[in-house]
Amino acid sequence: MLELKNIHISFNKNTDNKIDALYNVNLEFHEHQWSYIIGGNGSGKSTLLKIINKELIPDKGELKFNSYKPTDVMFIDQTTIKNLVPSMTIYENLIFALKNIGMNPNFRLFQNKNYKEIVIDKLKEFNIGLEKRINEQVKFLSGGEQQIIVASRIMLSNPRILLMDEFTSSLDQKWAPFILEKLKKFITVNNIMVIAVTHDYSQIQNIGDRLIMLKNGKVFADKKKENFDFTTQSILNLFYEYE
Amino acid sequence: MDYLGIIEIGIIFSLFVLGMILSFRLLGFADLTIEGSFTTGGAIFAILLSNGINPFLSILISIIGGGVAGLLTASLHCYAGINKLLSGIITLTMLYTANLRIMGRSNIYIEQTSVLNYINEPWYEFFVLLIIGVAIFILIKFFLSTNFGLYLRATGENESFVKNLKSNPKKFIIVGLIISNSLIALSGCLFAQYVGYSDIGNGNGMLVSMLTAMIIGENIVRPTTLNRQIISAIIGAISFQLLYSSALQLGLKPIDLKIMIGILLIAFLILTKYGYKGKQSKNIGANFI
Repeated sequence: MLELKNIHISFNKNTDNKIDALYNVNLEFHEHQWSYIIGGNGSGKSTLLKIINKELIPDKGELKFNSYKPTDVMFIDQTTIKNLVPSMTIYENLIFALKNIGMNPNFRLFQNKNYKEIVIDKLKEFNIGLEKRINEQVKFLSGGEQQIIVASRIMLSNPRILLMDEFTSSLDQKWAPFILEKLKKFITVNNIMVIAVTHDYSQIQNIGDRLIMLKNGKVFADKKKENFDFTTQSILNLFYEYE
Repeated sequence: MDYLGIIEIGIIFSLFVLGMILSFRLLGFADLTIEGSFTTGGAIFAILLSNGINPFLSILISIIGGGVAGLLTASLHCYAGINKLLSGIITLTMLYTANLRIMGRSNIYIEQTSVLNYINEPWYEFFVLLIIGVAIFILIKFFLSTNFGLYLRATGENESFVKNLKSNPKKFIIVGLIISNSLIALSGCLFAQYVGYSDIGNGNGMLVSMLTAMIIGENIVRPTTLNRQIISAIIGAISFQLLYSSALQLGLKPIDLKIMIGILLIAFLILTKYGYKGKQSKNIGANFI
């Protein structure tokens, strides 16, 4: 379990423009649970992810990893290319995920048969022929193809906690459900905790287990799938309720 | 024209360009230290050799001297939070005094037998330079083909990517700048042996000259892979030296050379920028221009 206890963080401290980005946030996240964080601009969604990723230190409160370690966290940025090294090939980008089989900054050669087989097998799962293009630079791939490489990175890394900031924001309606469903299957099988920020409420119904709504840095709603209808309309109603 | 001489100087300069590729292109770190570490390499070698130290040991110590300069610049950036360009400028300025202190005067003539003139035949000098060049290029190719090398390249293009892998990018910046400046000090040390003296002004203008060599090399051999990027260093250095010698042969006065190099660099930079006509470049590494 990951716990956020009484988290406070503010920006522009000691000025007239002080902003309480998060105010008295208490949340618990569990493994095998896909939690969606929603809220308007400036509600504190991305700040929450950055605190869990240890990019920001809260002014007050405690972040407890319990059985987890900070190194168990993988963060996926909302700009696809920021999750990749643009001029490197598909193969080179993906092998960074193979830490468990020795892809650490050591002096072993990065071109090897073992890595290659794993990368090709993973890409074959998406069935769009990327396994035949592993020597292409990722900057020349389409947005959807790049996001498949990011999804493959997630699967090969197999993190225990996955933080995603608007993962599908750059994808059209063809690619977004395709990639999310693949990811959902993988996450369920591997008991991964997912905390995802989104503005696309249509994906929450099929994928999400929990919905947390933030407003002005505070938790305004925390709903589980068992006791709330995750349709776009219900989510919008929830939104209007707190306007 | 002395074609053998052009290739020999080309090999010496290719080590400089290779070091520059490592910092400028692969690490995305426009490191100005290099102009000073080129002089440092020659200065350490000349003073040690004139004090009777073994030439091989003198070369090794001059390489270490360059590495220390790189370490200082990297530390200024990584630990003191100073901007990349400014870190290089600070070290470069400090190296001017350091190089004068090392030599004790502004120039030293190398009269002793060293590695390049052990046998006084032109083929011998070429042979030794070729062996050193090939060995260094193979070593750097090996280094960049390792997992560590791949992390270093990733740091140059996307530092937050490396941070998200829970690795510290500072490690790769530090090692990269140490290796880059060591290579440039070796280049400076071989240059001093080749011309027979070490002078405080040996490094003046080298940054722009070698940047021109690098860009020429990259325009001839499009560096779309690691191998091509490494090969571009030698092709660029030899082509640059050929142009340089041709300009002198055609009657250009030595005092006008810096203007010629500047114009050449501007021309190649414009050619590189507009050559792609809005398309993304397939070249590897960071775009520091």
